[in-house]
Amino acid sequence: MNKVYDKIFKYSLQMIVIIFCVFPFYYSVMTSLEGSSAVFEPNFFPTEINPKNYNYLLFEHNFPQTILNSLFVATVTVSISITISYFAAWSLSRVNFKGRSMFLFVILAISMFPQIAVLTGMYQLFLNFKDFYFNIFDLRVKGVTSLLWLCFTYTMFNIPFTVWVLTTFMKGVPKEIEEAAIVDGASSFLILRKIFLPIMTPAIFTTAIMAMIAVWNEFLFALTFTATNSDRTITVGIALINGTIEYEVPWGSIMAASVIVTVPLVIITLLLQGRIMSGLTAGSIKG
Amino acid sequence: MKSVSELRKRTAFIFLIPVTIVLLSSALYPLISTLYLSLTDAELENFLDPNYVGFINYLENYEGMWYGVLADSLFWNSVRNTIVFSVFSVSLEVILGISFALIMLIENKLKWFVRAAVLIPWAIPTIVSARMFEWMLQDQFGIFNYILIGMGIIEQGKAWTTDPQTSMIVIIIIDAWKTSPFVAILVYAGLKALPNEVLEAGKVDGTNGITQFYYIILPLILPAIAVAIVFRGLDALRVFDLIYLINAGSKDIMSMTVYARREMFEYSHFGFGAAASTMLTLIIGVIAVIFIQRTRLHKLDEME
Amino acid sequence: MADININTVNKYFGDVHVIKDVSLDIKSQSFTVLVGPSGCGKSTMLRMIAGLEDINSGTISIDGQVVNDLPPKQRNIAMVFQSYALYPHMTVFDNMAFGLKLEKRSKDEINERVNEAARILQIEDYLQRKPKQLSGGQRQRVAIGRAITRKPKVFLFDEPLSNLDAALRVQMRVELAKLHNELEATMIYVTHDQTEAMTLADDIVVLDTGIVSQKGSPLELYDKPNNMFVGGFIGSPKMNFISSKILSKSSDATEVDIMGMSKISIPKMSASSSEGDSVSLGIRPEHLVVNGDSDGSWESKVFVVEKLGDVTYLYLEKDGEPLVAETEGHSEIKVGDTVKVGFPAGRCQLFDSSGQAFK
Repeated sequence: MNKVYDKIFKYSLQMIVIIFCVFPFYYSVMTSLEGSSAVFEPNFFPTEINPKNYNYLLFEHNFPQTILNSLFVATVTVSISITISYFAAWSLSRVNFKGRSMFLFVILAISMFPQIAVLTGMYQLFLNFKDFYFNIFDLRVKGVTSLLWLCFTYTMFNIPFTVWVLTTFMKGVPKEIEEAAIVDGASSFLILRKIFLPIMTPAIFTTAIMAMIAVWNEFLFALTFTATNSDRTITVGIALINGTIEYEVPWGSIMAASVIVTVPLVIITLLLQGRIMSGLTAGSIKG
Repeated sequence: MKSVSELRKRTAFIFLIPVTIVLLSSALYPLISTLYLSLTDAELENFLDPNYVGFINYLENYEGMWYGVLADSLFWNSVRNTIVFSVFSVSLEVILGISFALIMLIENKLKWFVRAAVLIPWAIPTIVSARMFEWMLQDQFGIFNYILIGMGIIEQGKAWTTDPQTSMIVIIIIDAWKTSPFVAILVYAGLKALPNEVLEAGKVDGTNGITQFYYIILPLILPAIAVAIVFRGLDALRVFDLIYLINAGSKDIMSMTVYARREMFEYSHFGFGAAASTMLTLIIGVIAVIFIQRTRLHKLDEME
Repeated sequence: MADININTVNKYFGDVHVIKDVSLDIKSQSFTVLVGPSGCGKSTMLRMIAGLEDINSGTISIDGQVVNDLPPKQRNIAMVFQSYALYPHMTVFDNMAFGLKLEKRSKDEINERVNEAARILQIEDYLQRKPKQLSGGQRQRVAIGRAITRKPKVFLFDEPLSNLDAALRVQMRVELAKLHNELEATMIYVTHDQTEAMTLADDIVVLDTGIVSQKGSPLELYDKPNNMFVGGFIGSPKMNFISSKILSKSSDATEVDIMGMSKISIPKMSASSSEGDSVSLGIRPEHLVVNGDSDGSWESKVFVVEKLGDVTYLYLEKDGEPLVAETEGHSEIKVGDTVKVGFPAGRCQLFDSSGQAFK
């Protein structure tokens, strides 16, 4: 009998965790699928399936634009920061030089920096950048100024994290493999391309996904540096979804938007579960 | 001809140049210019060319009255809010995180689902989690009030997120929901790293679940927990989006970051805002140094 | 045809002086084993020859050319690592061909050389597999194969057998010896295992805290150790050391006491010694004569008896001085028995208080 109770007890603990973590997400999916009247009727299971909220967002709202903006910023940011960090990670994990620990410590310190501490300075830089940019390019491409600036700032804020994680991952590659390649006659650059790149691909991919999620979810800079409907990213986009009538919050649309931006993340996370877990721990524990 | 290690060092320095440029321009330059701006009268009109005014943004005595960030009760209020938020949310996250981690260890058919579920809150953008909870806690149609009414605990729906008395609690809960998984994963990794014999030995000694956890497991995963606390603590101290999104207008729950940003971008008091963010950096810096010293996090590189 | 000359080489890791004025001449086509306890600097020595570590002072030359500042690829060497260090994402073939590809060899030549090496090492069937799909022994063969294909003048082995289990280690040891005969290349081999050193080497170099303790053929080291360290390091079980005093000196022998129980006159001399000096008397377990007559003797109770079948080891102790003696496999001696062990004077070594051997 004891064994059965023990089993039930364990399953219920697990169910509590699952429900705690998944219910809010489930509930927003459900709300997003309901038409306006059903939304305002609390229930646990959908009473109807109505694509109205999605139709509105995708065809009558500038939401698709914000998704494209976020994708653009995330892709540019992640590719640049991963490339820069990959080479830096080699230096920091493979080469002995004075001040290496110091360098790593500074990187860790910067990654914990409050963004607000640099926001004023960043804003001033932004205004200068805008001036500079407007003088060079003609007006037609003005719309992307903020997005380019976001790429720039996100790259900067992502690099400490990606350097840190990639350094940890690279420390895990046995040093003899590199030495064997040196004896075989490979240069550092060739080793990074032909030996480390294939070995590190899963780690690089994991780091890229995590950096991408961080960019996708960023709010403070996006709110500060984007000003028009055309250059908003998804977080600001969702924050600014308003109803047509004042005081009536369009919960259905907000939930639909939330679902649209979250589902890809959830799918990626579920597919790469193990990798992301090791990436998260690499980012903090082992250093 | 250079020796191999000289050549490697030189290559290493070349590879570090881009990162160094990025760190200097992303951290050092804006930090210094923020510091400088905090000593100026920068407003929107003269933002690119402000006048140096000394420390009056921090503290000034003008005709017997004190002005400046340090004399602003709202600032100290935001400091208090931030610390309250950090202490309670991190404590809650550590407790939930450890519990989740232990539940993640259970080996059965649900194992995969538990591990998958735990990652979902982590992947969801803060804005989305804020809106989801706002919706669930909404006064008229929220499911939470619906359940409470159904159980007869309250008679009519409560506006949990907008009521100053409950909004801080709500914010702490949302933050805990979103980030306990992170703590759970760190602790879980720490638990997984323990040799099986440790747990087996405990069983042979006749310890039961709770004593085994308290006397054997907890001391061994303490380093993992310390790391989680440092990371989460420093993250919590700079909290912005949750508080801004749930209750942007309320002075009662404003965090330091929200306060500083409001001065800058809503009132265009860039100098004053810069002073506030400098104070915030100082406060976080002091807390971070104490934390890191106590947890010996700076020894991480030697520990590997 | 590559002699290796190492001339007063020094190496520091930070403040730690790990290699101290080491000079060595390694003959072309010889099999030289660097042996010593961990931390003695043997791997560092090998890595300096390979070009993986800088040299702080002194020179290393291969074939008459100083290589101090040459990168590994220009030194005409190949190295085999303890952890195999195979490229995990490449097939066995590609692992072995990587160095040749970097040398821009023709496809035919690469094929030919890899297949030749694979034939020698009997790994032809695995050429298209990834390292993950191989056993430890097979991986080690691939690692050796990777070295062979390059046709280097010098092979460097860094504890190549340490990760293998005991049985496989013996087998690979024999194959390495055969390989050396076939390839006629200079081989330098690092190990902490004195058995590997004794069985493989033409020359053994014993390193102790960064200093060459002795260099010589295996039997030279076994019969005439320069000092206590080499005496203790070579041979298994270890040489016994008994503290003793010089009773008298003659023109060709030194007389010492054995635990105050008997005297023995050992045909070894040291000019710097004088009567009354403390010395250590060294004798190998296999040279002690159990319950038989000899030049000097010692009596004690037996504490432990280890029967190995072919031999039996007796563990004795007297006044805190332990002694191990070897006797025949089917010995009747039991724990608690008192035995008399004889010391043949011709087998005894004497070491002065600084550990230097009497000649």
